[in-house]
Amino acid sequence: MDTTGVMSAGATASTTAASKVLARNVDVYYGDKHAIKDLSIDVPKNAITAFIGPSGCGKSTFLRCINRMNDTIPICRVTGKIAVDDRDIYDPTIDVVELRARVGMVFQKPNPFPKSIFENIAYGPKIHGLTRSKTELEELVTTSLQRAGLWEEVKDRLQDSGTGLSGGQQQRLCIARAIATKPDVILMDEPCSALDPIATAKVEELMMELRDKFTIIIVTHSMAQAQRVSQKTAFFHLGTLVEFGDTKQIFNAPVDRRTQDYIGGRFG
Amino acid sequence: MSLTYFGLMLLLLTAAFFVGRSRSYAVAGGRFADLHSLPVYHGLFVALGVFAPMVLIYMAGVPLVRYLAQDAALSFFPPDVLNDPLQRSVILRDVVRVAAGQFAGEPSATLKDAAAAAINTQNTGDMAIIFGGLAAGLAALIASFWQISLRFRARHWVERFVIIVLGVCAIVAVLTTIGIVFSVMFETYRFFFDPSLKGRPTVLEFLFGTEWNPQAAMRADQGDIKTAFGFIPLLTGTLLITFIAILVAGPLGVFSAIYLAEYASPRLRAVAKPVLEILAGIPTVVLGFFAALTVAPLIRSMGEYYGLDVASESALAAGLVMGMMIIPFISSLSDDVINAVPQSLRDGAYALGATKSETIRQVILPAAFAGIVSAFMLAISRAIGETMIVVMAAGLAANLTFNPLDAVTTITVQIKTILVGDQEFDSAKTLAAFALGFVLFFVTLMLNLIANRIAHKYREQYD
Amino acid sequence: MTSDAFKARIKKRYRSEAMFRAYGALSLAITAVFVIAVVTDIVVKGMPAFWQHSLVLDVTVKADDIDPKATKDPAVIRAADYFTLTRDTLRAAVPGVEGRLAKKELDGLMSSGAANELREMLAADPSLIGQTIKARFLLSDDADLYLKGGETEIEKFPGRGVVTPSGTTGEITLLTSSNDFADDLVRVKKALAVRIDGLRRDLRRAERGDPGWAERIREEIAGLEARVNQPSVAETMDANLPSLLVAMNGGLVKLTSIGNADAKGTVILPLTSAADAQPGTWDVVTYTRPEANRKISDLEVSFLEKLKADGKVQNHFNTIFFTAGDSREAELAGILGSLMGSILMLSVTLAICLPVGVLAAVYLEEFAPKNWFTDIIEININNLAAVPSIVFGLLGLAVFLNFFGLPRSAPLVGGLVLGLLVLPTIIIASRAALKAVPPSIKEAALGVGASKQQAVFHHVLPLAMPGIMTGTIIGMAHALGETAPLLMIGMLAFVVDVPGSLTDSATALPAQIFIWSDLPEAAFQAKTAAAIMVLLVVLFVMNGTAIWLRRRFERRW
Repeated sequence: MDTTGVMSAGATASTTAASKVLARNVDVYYGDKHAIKDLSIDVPKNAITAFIGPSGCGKSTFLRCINRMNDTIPICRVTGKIAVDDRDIYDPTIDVVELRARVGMVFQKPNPFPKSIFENIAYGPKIHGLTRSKTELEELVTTSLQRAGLWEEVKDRLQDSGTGLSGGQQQRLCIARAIATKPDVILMDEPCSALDPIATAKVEELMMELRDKFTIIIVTHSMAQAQRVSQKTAFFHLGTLVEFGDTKQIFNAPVDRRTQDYIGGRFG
Repeated sequence: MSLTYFGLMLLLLTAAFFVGRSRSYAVAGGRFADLHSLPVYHGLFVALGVFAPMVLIYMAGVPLVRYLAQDAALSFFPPDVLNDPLQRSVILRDVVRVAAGQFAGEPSATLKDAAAAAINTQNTGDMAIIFGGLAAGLAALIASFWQISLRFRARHWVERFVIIVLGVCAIVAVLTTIGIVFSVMFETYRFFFDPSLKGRPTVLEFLFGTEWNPQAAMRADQGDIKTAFGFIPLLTGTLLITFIAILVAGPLGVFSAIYLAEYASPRLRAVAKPVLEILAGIPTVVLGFFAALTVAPLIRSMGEYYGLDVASESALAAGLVMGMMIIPFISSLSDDVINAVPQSLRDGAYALGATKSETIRQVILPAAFAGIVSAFMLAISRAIGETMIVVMAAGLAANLTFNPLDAVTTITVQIKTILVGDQEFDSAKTLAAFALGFVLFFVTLMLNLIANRIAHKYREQYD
Repeated sequence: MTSDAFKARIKKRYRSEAMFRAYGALSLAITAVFVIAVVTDIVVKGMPAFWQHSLVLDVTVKADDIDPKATKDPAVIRAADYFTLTRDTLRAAVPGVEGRLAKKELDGLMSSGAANELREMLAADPSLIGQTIKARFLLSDDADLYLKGGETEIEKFPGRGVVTPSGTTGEITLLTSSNDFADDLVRVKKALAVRIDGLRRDLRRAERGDPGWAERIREEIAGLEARVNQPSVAETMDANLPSLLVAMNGGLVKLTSIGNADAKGTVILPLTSAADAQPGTWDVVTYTRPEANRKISDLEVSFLEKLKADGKVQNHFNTIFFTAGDSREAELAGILGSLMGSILMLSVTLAICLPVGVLAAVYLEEFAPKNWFTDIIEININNLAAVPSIVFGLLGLAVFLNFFGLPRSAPLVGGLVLGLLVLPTIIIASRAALKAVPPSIKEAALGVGASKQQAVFHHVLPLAMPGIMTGTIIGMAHALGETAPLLMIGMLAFVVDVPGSLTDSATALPAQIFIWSDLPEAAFQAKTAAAIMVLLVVLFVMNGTAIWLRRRFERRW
């Protein structure tokens, strides 16, 4: 099957907006396992891009490549080029700490630090030295919480432990924590999979509000969620990027046969 | 006698097993499926039926016969001799020796008669035990034999017995604790409150006295002997050495654990972990030898080089080596604790752009804090209770000092010094060792209880 | 975001990262260095103890001395007087030693058990009696230590001129043709200068503390300086100077004073003649370490050097170390007694621990109801595992010895105490092993109609057995190395005989190590280290077996 043809066709077709994250011929290996095969993509700025696909298709793996979280896994090897704002992030001169300050991440399971809510948000700004005074830091914490839509719920108990919040609140706390370091890009790895529908709705609402300021990439299992929140959708299958395009186009008029099957619910 | 008895018992048990089993075959008459329990269980049931009364008779009979034999022997001696416990025990010892034919020299006529009477009684009693046991065993065999029927639940009875045996095994550990508590408490009580004890201190004098010299009590009525049992110098000595040990082992242990858990390559881990295990497995007597013959002279000569006056058995040498002993202890406990911190927390910190050390210092260590505290408490408890290193490398002089270059003594060193060799259980000196043991047990128990409590809470947090 | 301030900050953060990482690596390195230091130190100290020196001498075994009635009864042969025989044999090997003191020093080279090997040889083969045979005689520990080296160095300077001795024995004078002792005198003066340096160091310490002592040192320094400053004045030798000896005419003279041209001395080994010794035929021999600073005297060194030169010294593997019990003589002391004691003790420990520990674990893990009592047992076991071992010694003393009246120093009591000591470890390990067996196994057995006990004893327990064995071996290794509780129950005794039963007086390997480490003789220090090596090897093998067992039977469910 001529997968490369389809893919490159999709990839070139999608270069419509100014691309924030760009990948060219990326391969990822876990030991002997070839997890991502020759992937190229252009993720546009200030939009929500959804990565969809069946389990084990490599979408999370690729997401973790974008802020080099895969560095923490010793057997993982990445080749090819991934660039954020036209700078190759695997270039030896690139500092991973700096990169992660610019490319934030929200995880599948909420993982607040066992510290106070305030400390959770303030942690990133503190280590990166983003604020010069205590009041400035407090302001930053407040705005981050406000943007994450959590402020009203927690403003009276900022000194309580972050682990004491409900699941949805914890996840929004994690998003607030990610925002607080003032990143350009936010990666979200199935951020709602551990949440109930109401909490999910709140997080989705939040994502759409954040869209103007940040470039958001979300990995999701829920096609409904992808349709609801994203402008762009990429479909992954067995480690390859099968199709990438406007969300409407992917869901209504997919080009590739495999995309059709997946959207139509024939596998996944 | 015992050999005969248990030999016969074994025979009877085997017989009972086969009798019971064949009885169940007979009862079943070919319809094995109708038997409630397997024939094996019927056999075991009958055997256990024999076992229980025979063991009981033996356990009750043997002390009884010994008592009667002693009584028979002692009846040859005048009562005024018998009222003296010392003479009484000498007589008993001689009687036993004469009876066994090991008496050195020619025993007196009374002694010979007494021995003969003792042997006589002993023999009669032994016979009675054997025959009584056999009779009881046989009776039990017959009784349980008639129990067997198609619906008889032999397996339940056997399993009930097994459960009791298992339970008894589990209680041995509790009995050990009770044994420890009672043995140290009893002697400690005597140490403080036995009126017949010369030179015993009051509890307050013991706890707050600043002079320790148990030998002084040997020379009774010489000078102010009460001050001899002041516990404070031992406490400061123990704490000084423990403090040095923790100062060494704490940072080294925790940093080693961090490095192994967060930085080390799998290959380094594969080498380093066994090295730590080797260190943990080195007996303390070996480390004591190393401390006394290598580290202490080294420190002394280094001190001389810098013009410092170092005691040849300095607290520093013992503390350093003890610290080394504790490193694997702290590092393995900390390693467990650090590994229990969920990966998601690390990811959270990394995703914010924290460096590894920032993640460790500001996220992992605070999250693991309770567990590490518990590890330190266990380590302290271990250092306080450690004996061989301090016995070999620390001194005997009870100096009240905090200078690590001086010689100090510890609780364990004093217990060992007092109790090695012959002890008299009516001297304050010997009992003092038990009082020290009581303090040691109590302090370490408290530390362990609290540490285990914290560790338990910590584990719940991430389960 | 990528401002200069941010860059600088990142640089700083990475510096602290590197520091932190370095601390970790350093901690690990220090720990490793310590382990290596302990092991190396012990191996270096202990290795020499596995070898020992003996003399191989021709001995004429007279029937009259050993077995006059020709009974050929080993008991009679063993009971004979070997002391005189040994002494005479050695004196024959070093002829011409005169003076009671010198003879005593010569006799002292032999171990008190020197003839043990000869005795056993004759008892095994009585036909040797009456013949002249080669036999091995064990040297004393001091002689052995000297031959192993490190006590003193020996330097030889060939003589240049002609030396004339005034006699062949006793106190003699040596006259040279020209100033042939001049170089040697210079060396003596140099040694005096070295001594002055040492005294100056002492003086600094003395000045801080003890003015009287300082004054005495100053006087001594002044006296020595006067001697050094007169280079050609003769010197009287003393024990604080290197020993000078002259080897000539087949004999050895120890110098008592030395000048440029002549010297006085005492003959140690007699000269064959009083003739002139020509250049090249005589040497000046120096034992560099002063006699006062070593254990072995000039006489003993001279005798041993002669025996060595005659090819009569043999270095051989120390079998005694593995076949004998304890002894007051270092060269005769072995570890067999304590090793047997440890083995007997551990068999008691194992006999208690394994059944009781495993059954208790089975009860707690599988059958115990969840109530306050089981909770107490659990907490109790966890805490018992951390009770200091010496407290178990107190328990043994108060309960087993005092209350039950069991014998002191017996492996039985030691085994009981160690059994209680490691019981919690074994229970905890067994419970972990039982817990690791997945419940599905038990459920499967219950599903086919087995009773709970059948399911546990037929299925769960066998599957948990490798884990239990691993825990047991580690517990036993722990028990083997444990010393403190044994001290309380009298296993610190000096036991010569190898114990044969559970109630014999015995000691244990770690206790033996402790006893030896306390002895002042240098030879016992090496023995201690050697015994530690044996202990460590045994422990290593035990732990290795446990690890192997764990790997071999490790099951991933």
